[in-house]
Amino acid sequence: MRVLALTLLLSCGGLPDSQVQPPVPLPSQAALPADSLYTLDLPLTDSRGEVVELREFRGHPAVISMFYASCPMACPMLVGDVQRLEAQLGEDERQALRVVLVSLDPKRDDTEALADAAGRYGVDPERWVLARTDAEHVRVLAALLDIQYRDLPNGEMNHSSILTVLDRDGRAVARRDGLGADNAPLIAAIRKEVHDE
Amino acid sequence: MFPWWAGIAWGGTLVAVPGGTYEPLYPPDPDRPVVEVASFRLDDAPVTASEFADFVAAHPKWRRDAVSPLFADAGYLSTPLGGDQPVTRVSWFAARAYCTSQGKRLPTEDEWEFAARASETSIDASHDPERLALLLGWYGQPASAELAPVRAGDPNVYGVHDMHGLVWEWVEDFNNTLFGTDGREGGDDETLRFCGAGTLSATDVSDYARFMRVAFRSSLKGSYTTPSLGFRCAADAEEVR
Repeated sequence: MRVLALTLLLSCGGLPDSQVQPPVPLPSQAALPADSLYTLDLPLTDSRGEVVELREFRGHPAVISMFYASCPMACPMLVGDVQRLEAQLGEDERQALRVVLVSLDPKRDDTEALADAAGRYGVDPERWVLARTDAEHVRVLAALLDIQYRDLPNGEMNHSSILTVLDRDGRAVARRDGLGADNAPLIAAIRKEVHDE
Repeated sequence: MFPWWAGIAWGGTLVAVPGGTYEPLYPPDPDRPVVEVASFRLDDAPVTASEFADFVAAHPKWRRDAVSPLFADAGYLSTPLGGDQPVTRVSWFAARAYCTSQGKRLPTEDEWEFAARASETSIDASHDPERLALLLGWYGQPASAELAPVRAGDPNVYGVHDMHGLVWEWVEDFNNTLFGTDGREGGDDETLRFCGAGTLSATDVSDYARFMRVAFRSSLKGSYTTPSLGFRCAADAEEVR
C-alpha cells in the first residue's frame, strides 16, 4: 500500500510545488555568500533519476547529511532522528524544511536503490531528496560536512552521523553529531530561518 | 636519469611503489588485520612552496585572497610562497586540487603508511626500535623551526624522500577514522558494530609515531591549514603492457 501511495505521489511530482511556498521570496539574483554550500558544483541525481542542484533548495532551511541505502542500522536511525525532528516542528516550519541525504556508496546506490530506501523510510518525496553523486564528490561533500567514513570488508561502512542545518542561503548554521543526540539546536536554527526576516 | 617530461611537470617525480600487504593501525575489520595495498606511484618528495606558487598562479581561484572559505581556513597560504621547502598552510581541498591539476591524486592513508614503513635499506623498517625512537624524536620537536628543503636527506628504498622528519602530509581519506563520534564506544556491542563502531582496536600500540599520525589525521577537517602540514601526490601504477 505504501509503495502504491509513493508511486502516486511520484507520478504527480510537479503539482504539490504550488502548495509549498518558500518561507521568503527566493533571492534568486542575489549573490550567494562565499561560505554557502550552494556555491558548490555538486552533480546530484535523486531517487527519481532526476538531476538535482543543491542550490535549488535556496530559500528553504535544509537538513543535510550522508547515508547509504543498504545500511542496516545507523542510517534508518539517522532518518528516524530527522523524522522526530520534523515532528517537533510546527506545520509551517515542517513544510518549509528540505532534507537532503547524499549516498556515501555511489557504487551500489543507483536510482533504484535510492527509491527503495525512500520507500522503506517512508519519507515525504516532496521535501526529502535522497541522492547520489560520484565517488570524487562523495569525499568532498563528506569533508565539507565533517563526516568521517570508510568501507568495511563486509560491504558495510563506518560513518559518522552528523546532521547539518543549512540556512536559506546554504550556510551551515547548526550541527548535531551522533545518533539520538539533542535536536534542540537544529530546531532553533530551522525556526530562525522560517520566522526571521 | 630524469624522465622526458621532468622539465614540463610541476612537483615531485612519481616513483613506483610495488604493492604488498600491511597491517593498518586500525584495520577496517579487526578479524582481518592484514590488508592488501596495490602497486601505486608516489611523488619522491613533498610539494614545495615554489611549486605550489606556480599552481596558484595558473589557478587563481586557489589564491589566498580568492579561495572559497569552504575550502580553506583563514591561515591558508599565510606563509609567503616560494623556495624548496615543503608547502604548508594548505588545506586538503587545495592539496587535492593541486594533484588533480597534474593528473595525479592524493595517496590513500594505506598507500602513504605502506610507503612510510620503508627505510633506506628495507621496505619495512616499522619494527626497528632505533628507527621508532628517531621518528618519535622528530614528533617531539617544536614545529616552529624553519623547514629544511625537500630531498635534503637520503631517499628510502623506493627512492622516496622525506616521508618522516619534515612535515605531516595530507592523505585522500584523512577522514576515514571515527574518533569521538559513533565509533567511540568500541566494539563490544553488536548493535554499535553495525552502527559503524568497533574500529578502535589498534593492532600495534608500540608504534607511537604511527598512532600519532592517525590521531593527527583524525583531528583534521578538510579546510584546516597548519604550519607543519603539507602533502605529496600519488598515482595508480602504470598499466602493464
